[in-house]
Parts: sequence; C-alpha cells; structure tokens
Amino acid sequence: MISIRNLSYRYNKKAPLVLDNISLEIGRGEFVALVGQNGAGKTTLLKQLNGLLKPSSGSVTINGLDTATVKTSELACHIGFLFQNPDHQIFCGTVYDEIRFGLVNTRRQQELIDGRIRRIAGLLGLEGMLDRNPFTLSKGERQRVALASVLALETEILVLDEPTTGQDYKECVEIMEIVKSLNQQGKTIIMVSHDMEVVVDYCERTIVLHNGRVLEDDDTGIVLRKTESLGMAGLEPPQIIQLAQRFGPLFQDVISPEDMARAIISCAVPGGVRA
Amino acid sequence: MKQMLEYVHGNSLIHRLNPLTKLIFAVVTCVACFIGSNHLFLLGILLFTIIIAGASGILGRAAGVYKALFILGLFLMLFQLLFTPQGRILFYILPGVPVTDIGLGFSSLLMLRMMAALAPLSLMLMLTPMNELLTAMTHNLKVPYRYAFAVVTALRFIPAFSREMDQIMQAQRSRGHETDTRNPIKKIRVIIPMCIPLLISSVRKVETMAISLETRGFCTGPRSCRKKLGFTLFDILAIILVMAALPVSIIIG
Repeated sequence: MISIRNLSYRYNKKAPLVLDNISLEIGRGEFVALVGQNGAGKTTLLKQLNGLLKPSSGSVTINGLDTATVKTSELACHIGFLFQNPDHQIFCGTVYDEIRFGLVNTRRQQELIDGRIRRIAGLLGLEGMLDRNPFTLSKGERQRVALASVLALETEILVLDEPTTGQDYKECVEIMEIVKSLNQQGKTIIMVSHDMEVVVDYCERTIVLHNGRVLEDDDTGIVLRKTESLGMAGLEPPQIIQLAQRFGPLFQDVISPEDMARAIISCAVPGGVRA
Repeated sequence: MKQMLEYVHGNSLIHRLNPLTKLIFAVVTCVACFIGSNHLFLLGILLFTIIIAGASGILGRAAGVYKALFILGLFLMLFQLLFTPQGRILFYILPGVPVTDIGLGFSSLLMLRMMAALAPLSLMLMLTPMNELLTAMTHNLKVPYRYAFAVVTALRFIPAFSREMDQIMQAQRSRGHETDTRNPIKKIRVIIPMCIPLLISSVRKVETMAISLETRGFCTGPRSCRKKLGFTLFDILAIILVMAALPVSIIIG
C-alpha cells in the first residue's frame, strides 16, 4: 500500500540529508507509530507520504501512485493528513463548512455530504458546535475539528502528526479510540507521537527514527524493550516496561498493566515459579 | 520572496560596517534612483549593488532577490508598454496594441528604477543584523525605542509569516485544495481564502508577544545597549562614496 524505496531527502543541495536511505513497506490495515527526537525527520517523512515534499533520491509510492509525479491535491483522495497545528488547517467560518471543505474539493456527491458531516461530527463530539466559528473554540476542540475535516475524506490511509497534543487525558483517549476503531475498519494509520504510553496502548508496529535513519522497525512490544536503541533516540520505554525489565526475564513479555498482573499472579500462586 | 529580508550571516568588511552607514547607503541610493532619469545611471547603481553583494559574499542569496525583482520589473514594464500609445510606433505586440519608442524608453526606465531602488534596501537588510539596526536607530538616530522596535519587529515577522503561509498551503493541499495548480489565475483565487488562517494566527502571535513583552518590562525605563557601534574610517569612506551618487544623479538628471 505504501512503499518507500531508498528514500533520501535534503531541503536544498547544500543542506545535510534529513532522510537518509529509508526503505519501508507499510501494508493495508497496519497501525504504525513513528517515534524519535525532534529533528529526527519524522514530520519530513510524513510529508513525503502525500507528496508535500518530493524525494531527492529514491521513490515513494502510495497505492501504486508515485508521489514524485502526482499532485498532493490528487493524493488527498488516498491519504488524509492531520497537521501538528490545527490553526494551519482551519479557515472556514463555521465548523460545518470546515468539515465540508475537503469533501467539496474531492468532488463528492452533494447528497452524501451532509449526512457524512453530521456522522463525523457526532463521532468526535462536535455535533453541538457545527454552527460555531472554529476560531472561538478551545485548542483541543480545534484539534478535533481539524481531525474531523481529515476524517471526512474517508481515505484509506490516515497520517496523523501528533494528534494528541493539547488534549487532556480524556480527550486524548477519546481521539485514540476513534483512530483505533477506524483502524479496525481496515484503515491504515501512521502516527507520530512523543507519548510512549499512547504508542504502547494503540500501535502495533513502531518505527524509531534517528538522524534521518530507521533505527528500529518491529512490533511495538519488541521495539519498546530495546532500551539501548530508544536511549540513542532520546526516548524511554513506558514505565510499565521499565518496571518489568527490573523484575528480570520472567517478566520480559509484559507491555501492559494486564500482562503485569498476570505475571505477578503466576509468580505468587503456590506452585508458580518464584522470581 | 522571504529570503529578500532575512539577515545572511557573514564577517565581510561590509557586514562589519556601522548599520547607520548601510542605512544611509540604502536611503541615498533609493533617493538617487528617483532623481536620476537616465538608463545608464540606474544600470550603474544596479551594477554597484551587485558588486557589493559579491564583495560581502552573499551573491548566491542575492541572486534570488535580483531574479524576483526582475520578474516584478518585467510585469511593470509590460503594463507601461501597453498603456503608452504616444510616440513613434515600432511594432504591434497584439493587434491594435502598439509598442512605441517613448513607451519602450519610459517602461524600461521604470523597470530599472524599481530594481535599482529596491535592491539596496534588500541588501541592507540582508547585511545588517536586526538588533544592530535597532541600536543604530535608537542610539544614533534618536528614534524613540517604541517606534524603532515596531519597525524592526514588522520586518522580522515577514519571514516568519512567509513560513507560516507555506505551512497553511501545505495543510490545504493535503486535503485536496488545489494550491499546487500551475494556472496563475486559479492559483490567486485559491490562495485568497488562505489569508484568513494567516491573519488569525498572526493576531494570536502578536497578542502573545505583546503580553510577553509587558511581563518583561518593555519600555519601563531608559535602555542600555551591549554593543557600542562606532564609525571606522571605512564607514566614513563608504558614506562619502554613497553620497556622491546624489550630485551625480542631479547632474545626469
């Protein structure tokens, strides 16, 4: 579905490489986290996916379309993109128009549009705000408006650049649950996040970027136990994994509180192995 | 366009000149360009700015500026050509739209004047760090700090806004808005609504900045400055050289 081959990128001829020989395959229905320090190239890599930036060498293909030759506004039917700052995306007078905007751009049928807007607004808890001006809403609400306007396009691939920033814990969980349900419906999700707890809870696969290279690329459970690589990229595994690592090899598969409880019980019950 | 106003770091002789010298250079050449109505004189000034850009090692960056000015100048020239029917007709650019000798002379003069007047201003900004310009304005020219600060901040915000606009365009493109069209008329129509988020984010930014300035005691008392800006022999020579442009422009007329 997404195929990146030997992708290198620099902003101009004299600048250093921001992305250095990256090769990745992302299949349909995957839920991928992209993590790394600020400046590691995460956002640059995301912008390569929908053609906002074109490869300096190598290639990126989305559903068989080469991003080097297809315009971003055409790729928009295949790949939805949520930016870090919602204010870059929002410009209509009402929330309703904002969600509608992308649908009109991609020439969807008029009759379908209204129903879809209301459904998506309901999904994100925006139904009471459809007539409000987006700029009078709070940062968290604006983030959800921006997300709604991306979801409205119903693309097969969703690219989210830190979707949970500026949200409180409850809003963060709500957004991630929506993203998870979209993933269960078969959508491919690629998400940048600094929040390792979110990554471990939701993403199946984790890619660690460091200085424009792929440092690790595997199941989230496996990647998050590689303390050394994570440390190199300035990251720490979630606390539950750090705790499990201190308990020794019997706890090596623990990545969630449930796993932890199970592991402790199996050690504590009579007949169980003592740690 | 954004690189037209951004300081390019360097340590050349021209970089080290007193900011006031560079300000005088920009203002005097600009005035001279409007006094002098001679193709060769304007061309000379333009050439002189190119030499300065070369001597200060920023020719690569300045090339972009000259290119932008040239394109702007061409547009200006074209419009003047179309609307100047006086004089001897040389040829027809379109059926019924003649190009005359007066039109050609006048429009090329306008183009050269625009380029020669704007190039030094842009060079001055590329060769002077903003805070030095601010010091020069407040301490040497005795401009009240409040006003000098406003001017410098406005200049400093232009590149920031330009980057912001890039981000907005990218965001809109990613949801199917055709800001990447090649058709210039369509492009203008598509870009106008994009100004709303730019305006709103800039108002937000300015509000935050105003508060942050006040919390740090903006304009509460006399200011001190870290670096005293003196005039060297080169400054004086440069000012004399630049000032010479004025009488020349009047004589050549």
